[in-house]
Amino acid sequence: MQRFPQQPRPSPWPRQGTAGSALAAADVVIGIGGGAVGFARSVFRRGRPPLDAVMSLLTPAARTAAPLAGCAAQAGPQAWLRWAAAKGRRDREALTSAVVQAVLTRVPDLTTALLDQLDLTALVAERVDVNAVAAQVDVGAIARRVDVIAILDQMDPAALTRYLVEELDLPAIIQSSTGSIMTDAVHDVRMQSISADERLSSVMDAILLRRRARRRAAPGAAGNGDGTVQAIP
Amino acid sequence: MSSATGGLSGSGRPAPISAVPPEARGYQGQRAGMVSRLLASAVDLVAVAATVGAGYLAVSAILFLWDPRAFRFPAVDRTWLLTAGGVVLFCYLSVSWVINGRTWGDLLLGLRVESHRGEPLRVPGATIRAALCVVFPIGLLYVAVSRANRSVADVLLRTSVVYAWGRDAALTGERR
Repeated sequence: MQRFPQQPRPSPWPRQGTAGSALAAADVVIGIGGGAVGFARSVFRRGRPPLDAVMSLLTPAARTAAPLAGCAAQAGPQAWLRWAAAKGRRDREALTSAVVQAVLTRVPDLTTALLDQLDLTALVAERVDVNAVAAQVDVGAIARRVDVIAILDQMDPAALTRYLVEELDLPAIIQSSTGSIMTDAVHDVRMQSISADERLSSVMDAILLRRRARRRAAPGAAGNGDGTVQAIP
Repeated sequence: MSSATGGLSGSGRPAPISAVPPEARGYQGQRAGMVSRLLASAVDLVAVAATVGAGYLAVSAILFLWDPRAFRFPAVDRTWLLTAGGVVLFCYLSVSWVINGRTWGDLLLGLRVESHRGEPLRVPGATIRAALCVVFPIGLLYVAVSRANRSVADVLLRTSVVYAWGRDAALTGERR
């Protein structure tokens, strides 16, 4: 026979307050309900003659009721309730574990089935502001994490160079560059002479009281069609 | 990069990249002003003077080799000097404009002489224009007052001196 200490025992429910009281009450109910269910199962599993059935019903009933009676006799209703609550807590934890295990077992299949029924692309396009999300992306941080050297290692420099030379006509560019813009000094002289041309033309036009712009465009040059060109900065 | 390449051509290949700086592209194909043309002419005059001086030294060298004892630098009359300079300048301008439309001065300043069709001058046009420039050089000053930046020679022969920095344009006569 199970004995119950008389001194106060620590509470089986770590949480106090309303939630702890409700949980304790639920455990008591579960404990009593579990005992009743066990008793009922013992009664209905027996398929013997009525006498044997009656006798067999008394046996599990007595076994089930004995601890309760012992508890009630020795410790009173409070100890009995504590015992019922402890049993209910174990049953609840076992039930919770079984439910969680069952749910976790079926989550992947349920998720897959759910996703198969959804058009996520259309859903995202309809409900997500992609531009707002993209605006929050730190492209600089991403670029800093890119391993450019690793990317270049996967490329063929010779083929890339040949492609660029062929597509851009690099020899012609070099030839043209070295022929027309020999040095920065030549470039500066040319630009300064153009500026001087502009200033002199403006002064002469002002002296001659001309209002119309000069027709600088030579035959065949792109202009406004009437030989005039737009104002040059 | 598209601005540099000018986009794709009809065949899908990228157009050649222009070597002309972006700040100067707007001027290409327009008639040049008087300052640029005067500077180019000054460079040409220096080239002609150097040629005449080289010719004088060559003649002196021949005279020295002919009779070293009696050698003296030949005295040159101003008329002869101007005549020689005029002849050299005429030949220099004619040949340069026929070959590629540029003298050395034009090449330095990024200019090109072209006909009213936008093409390099032919031999008759180049010779007549060169003669006008030698005989009446002051006609270049008309560029300052011309509404179309043209000199007297340009007005008479319907020629133009345009900004053309690209080397290809000088060789082929094509506009940018």
